[in-house]
Amino acid sequence: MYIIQTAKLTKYYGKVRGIESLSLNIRPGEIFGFLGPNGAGKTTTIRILIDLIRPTCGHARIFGLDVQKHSVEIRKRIGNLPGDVSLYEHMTGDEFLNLMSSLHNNHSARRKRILAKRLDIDLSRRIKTYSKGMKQKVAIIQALMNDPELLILDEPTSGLDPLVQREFYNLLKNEQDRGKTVFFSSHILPEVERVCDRVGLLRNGILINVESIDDLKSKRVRKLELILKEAVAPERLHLPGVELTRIEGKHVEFIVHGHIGELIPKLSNLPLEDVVFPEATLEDTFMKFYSEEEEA
Amino acid sequence: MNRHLFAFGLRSSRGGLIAWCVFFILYGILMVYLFEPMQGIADTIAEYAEQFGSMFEIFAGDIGSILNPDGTLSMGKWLSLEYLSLWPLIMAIYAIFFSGNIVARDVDKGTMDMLLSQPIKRVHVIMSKFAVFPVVLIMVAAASLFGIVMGMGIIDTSSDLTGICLVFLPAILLPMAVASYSLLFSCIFLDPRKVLMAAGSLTGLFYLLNILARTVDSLDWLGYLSIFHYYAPGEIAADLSVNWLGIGVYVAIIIICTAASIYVFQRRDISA
Repeated sequence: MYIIQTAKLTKYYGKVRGIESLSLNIRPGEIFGFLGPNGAGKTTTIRILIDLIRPTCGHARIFGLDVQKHSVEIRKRIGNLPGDVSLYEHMTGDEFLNLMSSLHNNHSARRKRILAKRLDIDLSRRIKTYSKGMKQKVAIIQALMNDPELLILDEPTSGLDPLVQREFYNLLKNEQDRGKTVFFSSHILPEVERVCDRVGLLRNGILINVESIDDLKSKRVRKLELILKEAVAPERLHLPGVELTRIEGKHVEFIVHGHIGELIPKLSNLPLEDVVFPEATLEDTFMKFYSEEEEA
Repeated sequence: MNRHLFAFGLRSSRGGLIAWCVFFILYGILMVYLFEPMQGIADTIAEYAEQFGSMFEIFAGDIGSILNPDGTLSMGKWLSLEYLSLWPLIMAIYAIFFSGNIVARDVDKGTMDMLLSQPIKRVHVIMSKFAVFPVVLIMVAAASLFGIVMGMGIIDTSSDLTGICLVFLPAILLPMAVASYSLLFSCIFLDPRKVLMAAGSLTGLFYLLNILARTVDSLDWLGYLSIFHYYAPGEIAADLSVNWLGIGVYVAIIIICTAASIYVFQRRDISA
């Protein structure tokens, strides 16, 4: 049985497309990344799963239950982190979390305290005094504190500093080790590569592909930038397994297709000042999938 | 209804509740204190009432109807007319802000997403928050009565409060009716500004219709379209009987608008 299952899920806001015919199957115990640029339809999909909005057509199931008919039963077993975190500003972090856990009939504060310690946040302060990152931490605790079977997280690392992000990734891995399933949306490719088992690529409301992370990495576009001590003749830049994309004086850019190991010895023949492997952008990855689709 | 959410709503409203209680206690004391000077000039007021007719009634209430046959003024009738004619109007304005914000403010601020991520039915969210308002009204009414009794203690007088207690029944139901249609607007628009405009305009229209009906004889039928028409504190205090038609109208508005609010909120997308 799949934990999350959607079939031809479609949502239109008037004439504007949110998502179109989205079919997804999320397996138990996996961390699934839902990757796409802003406006791709990630939040729309999550809001349908939480039953905040209703699909135009198609259906979605969580734990085998229809998300509209059994929304309360489903929400007892999930932790959700909304995309734009808004909390009751007049409350303290502790009061807010107590209110949220009381709606789950969970009156144990142990897990809340552990999570607060791991994320390093003082819950006794009023929420209005918190920074954006601190509010995000409270929202993360809210999603995790009731020990849910499934976590649905909409851009969870937004506003978190790198150290807290790392701790958050550890938290997700811990949850996975405990048999929990995680579904999270992101527009940051390295983040998804780092924590996810599989990834769904969404663009303009359409699911382009679902890949394992290993497959995604093997298909990943890798860039190479060389800064040379002096300009060289273009024919010297015809290297194995790379495609020359730009020459600007001593600055040269390539796209790497083959194994990097074969390339390194050849580079030593050039008058190198510096070698840079810039991180591939989400756009580069999508372009790769588009070109594959077109070729197909 | 969810008791945790209800308790949260009550805690969030405590500032407003305390402020209204203090205001109406002080206002009650003041009105009781003004009774004796007003009693001394009851004849003059009655003359003005007769001379200016319905226009005087709009601004000062139906003074003529609350004078005793001997031309004197009774405390119960005085308070019913001058204190309790204003009471539901003020609470009706509060109802627009309170109830209009129940759904719209949470959606506008984004906190509704967080609430509806928890295992709670939409109907329970709306009812738990709405149920706070009648509690607030009853507590303010109790504080108002306390202010009246306190005022009587200060000027060392006493009066039968039966009429005043009877007036409080429609006085509580009128703002409840306003709150229920404000809640409906809140569920329809999900935008606090639009809700305040719609509920405020409708309440203003009701008030205007009532004035028109009372001032222009040929338009007296318009009064039946106004919720203010069914609230006549002077008559209740004079006859010591409740206007059951008015009570029925208020209860019907409350039930229909609340049910419609639940229906709309259950079915709609939550997006700010």
